[in-house]
Amino acid sequence: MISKEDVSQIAELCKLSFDDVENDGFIKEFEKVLNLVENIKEADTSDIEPTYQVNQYKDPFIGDEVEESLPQKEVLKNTVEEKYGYFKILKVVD
Amino acid sequence: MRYKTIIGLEIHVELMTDTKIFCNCTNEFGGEANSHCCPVCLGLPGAIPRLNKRVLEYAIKAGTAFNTHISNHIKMDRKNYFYADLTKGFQTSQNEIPICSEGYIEIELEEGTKKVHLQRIHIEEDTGKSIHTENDETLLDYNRAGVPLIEIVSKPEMNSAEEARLFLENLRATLKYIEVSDCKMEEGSLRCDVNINVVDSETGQKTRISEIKNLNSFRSVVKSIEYEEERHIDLLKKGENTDKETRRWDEVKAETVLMRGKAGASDYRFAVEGDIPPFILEDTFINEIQNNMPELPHEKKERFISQYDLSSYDAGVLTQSRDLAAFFEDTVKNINDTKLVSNWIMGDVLRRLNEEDLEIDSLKFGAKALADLISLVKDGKINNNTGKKVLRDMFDTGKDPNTIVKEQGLIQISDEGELEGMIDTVLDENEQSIIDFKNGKDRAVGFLIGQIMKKSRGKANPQVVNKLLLEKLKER
Repeated sequence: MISKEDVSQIAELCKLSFDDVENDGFIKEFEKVLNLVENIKEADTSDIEPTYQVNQYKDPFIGDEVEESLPQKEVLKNTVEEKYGYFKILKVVD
Repeated sequence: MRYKTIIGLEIHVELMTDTKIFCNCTNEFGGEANSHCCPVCLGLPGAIPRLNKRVLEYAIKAGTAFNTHISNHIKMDRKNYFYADLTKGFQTSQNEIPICSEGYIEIELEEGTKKVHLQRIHIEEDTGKSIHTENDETLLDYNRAGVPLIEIVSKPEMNSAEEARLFLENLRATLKYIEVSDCKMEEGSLRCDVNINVVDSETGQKTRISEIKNLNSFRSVVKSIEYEEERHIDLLKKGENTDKETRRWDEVKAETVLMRGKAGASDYRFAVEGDIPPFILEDTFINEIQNNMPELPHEKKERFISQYDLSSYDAGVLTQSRDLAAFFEDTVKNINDTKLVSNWIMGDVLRRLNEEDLEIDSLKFGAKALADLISLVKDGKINNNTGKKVLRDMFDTGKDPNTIVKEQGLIQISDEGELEGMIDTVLDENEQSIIDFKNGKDRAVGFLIGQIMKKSRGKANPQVVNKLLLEKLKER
């Protein structure tokens, strides 16, 4: 069962906040999703090796060769504020 | 010992590939802010990462050097957390299946060799860099975002700061030997976090684990462990306990400071990285790497002991870095006297490098020049003290030793006639010393030799001077 606290914690991890009405809405939605997943648990997988891929994926690599990066101007194009070529945001210290 | 310290280390190492882990931007350190970026490492919508094959190669090399099991299954996971230095809102890492697991690193203790086991080594991307200014702003540079890392996690099997230091030294030397990282702590290409707690062996009580971050030298690793050890033991003695928390080492205050508690801490909500489908590595790829491993530090040390007839200690010093070992071997190729060469390198050369905090590759002269200098001394063309003086000049100017000797007229004087003249003059000038000598004061001889060396401007052959002086003193 999903509790109000579960929703608040997930919201906090996403740096989001909701009011009580919104919270209750999420409880219902989360439960719906979880109930759906519960169905999968009914399958017996005790003798089955995990499947990591279903495609015959052979050479998914890139070579270790340098290619040109974007010009700094392009990189910063969509930012609201920049300073000395850096993205500038309000101070955040972890 | 009533209190037992338990230490585990987590080490992040930037790999020396040419490009980043999931794109073809350069992996060069520094550069103008945000000039090594593309849609992939900036995490722009729609950009698809692809794995740089060399990252796997280097991780497997490291895993092989540390005796780990290498996984054929390669699977990447998303580690979710919000921080401005993370462009996508998640770090692409490995959670469920690390590329390397188990393994160990050996450290040499007085009581013998100890195996410190590893839990895992996995590959992941580095984050961008944030600079916090005094004007309440944070500036972000994403040149480092997507730089390939391996994270090496030890088991909590170290019991002192000294063991942690030895573990790190072995780890760094090995990674540099196999050329997967330059391991420069000052540039952040090797970063270390410490997990530490203490057990009271009488009551069985344990403190809660502290994690220490922000350690930018081996010295601060040692200092912070010693500090935490004491803090934990003091609390246990008072019947209290530590909190499970993350602390930061403050270099100036020489103490650890609370960063954040762990209660309600990060929940990374790991999820499969769908943009990089899991795949299976061919055995041939792994075998090829494992069959072409370069000589590891302990292998080179064993070879030096048997091939050059060096003591275990000398061989250990000379093989501490691959460059130093190569310098020794190149010098020996030019003058076949391993004992002399190791004495010169371990004595004056290393002393000077240590004084100036330099590495062997910053020397202004090569192995051939050092061999020439040692030959000059060995053949008696200059005496030992002059040799040291010439070496100092070589450090400063990088000039060839033969040139220095020629320019400064340093060739040793062994001609007995020439030396006898000098000895006579000195004896005439110091009659008191002759009287002292006759009265059994041996110190007088040392004083007189000093005067003669001075007169010859350091060039007299000390053995010849010694012999002639004693003869002359007896005659007087």
